[in-house]
Amino acid sequence: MALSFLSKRSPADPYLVKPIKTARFSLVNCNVRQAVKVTLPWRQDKEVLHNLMMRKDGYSQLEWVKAMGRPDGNTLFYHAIVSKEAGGTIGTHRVKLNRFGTASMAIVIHARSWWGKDVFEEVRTGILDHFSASEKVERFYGRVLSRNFSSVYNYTKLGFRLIGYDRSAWRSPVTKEFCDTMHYEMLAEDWIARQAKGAIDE
Amino acid sequence: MNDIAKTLIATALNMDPAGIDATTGLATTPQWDSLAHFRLVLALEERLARKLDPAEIVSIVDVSAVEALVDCPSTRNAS
Repeated sequence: MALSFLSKRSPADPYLVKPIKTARFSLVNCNVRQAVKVTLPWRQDKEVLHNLMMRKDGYSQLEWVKAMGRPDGNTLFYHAIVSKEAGGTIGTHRVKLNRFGTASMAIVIHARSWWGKDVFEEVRTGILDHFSASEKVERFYGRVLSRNFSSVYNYTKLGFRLIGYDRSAWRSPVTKEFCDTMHYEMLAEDWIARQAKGAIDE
Repeated sequence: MNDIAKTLIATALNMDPAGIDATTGLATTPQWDSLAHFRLVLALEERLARKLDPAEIVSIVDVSAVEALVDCPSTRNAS
């Protein structure tokens, strides 16, 4: 009891940690150990680290555990993207939810055989559907390198609003170049309305 | 329609140029997926002999946008 002030962690939100199903994938909410396991392939993958805008071009296992943070079911979520057909994990989706209701997102499809197969759209739609139903989420946000053409495509395809871009805003530890980045947003209510409109139009 | 733009889009999307029209776009054409988009942007940069800036990159959503880039006066002499 006397030490309770040291532990400020809220219990995980029972709705937000529910598993999410899409047509081809199960999005499995990960605990700390699972999140480290599914993201470990990234820690030495320079292309992934560059496009995630990580600080270093390679991480030790310990550094990686620290960099990934601790998924808590309230402010940080890692979803393993598991193929229903093959059963393996092909990537991971991350959501960081701040106290103002902004959910910042990132996704990595580390299984390159799945690139170009609309995984981003399907997984991100599942995530947006799920998180927008929570009162805790007001807005979705994503920041990508302007030369990450596939991500730019995917945000545009999903109807995200480009709220701006900044020139030479980030220096890649991989390429050593200064890179431009794009900022995208979508209000939760706009996503819900968009999905409702899509359902009516079908 | 600008033939160069049509060819660039058709090649990137692996489509017959005859199938490219004013309605062809990121939101309307199934063949315009993320990989096709990637190919198209790179093809445009090769054509224009320069890297596109963020405003140009984000504008590439349909045929008219590609035409506007190809027709840009500063790059009209690009081979």
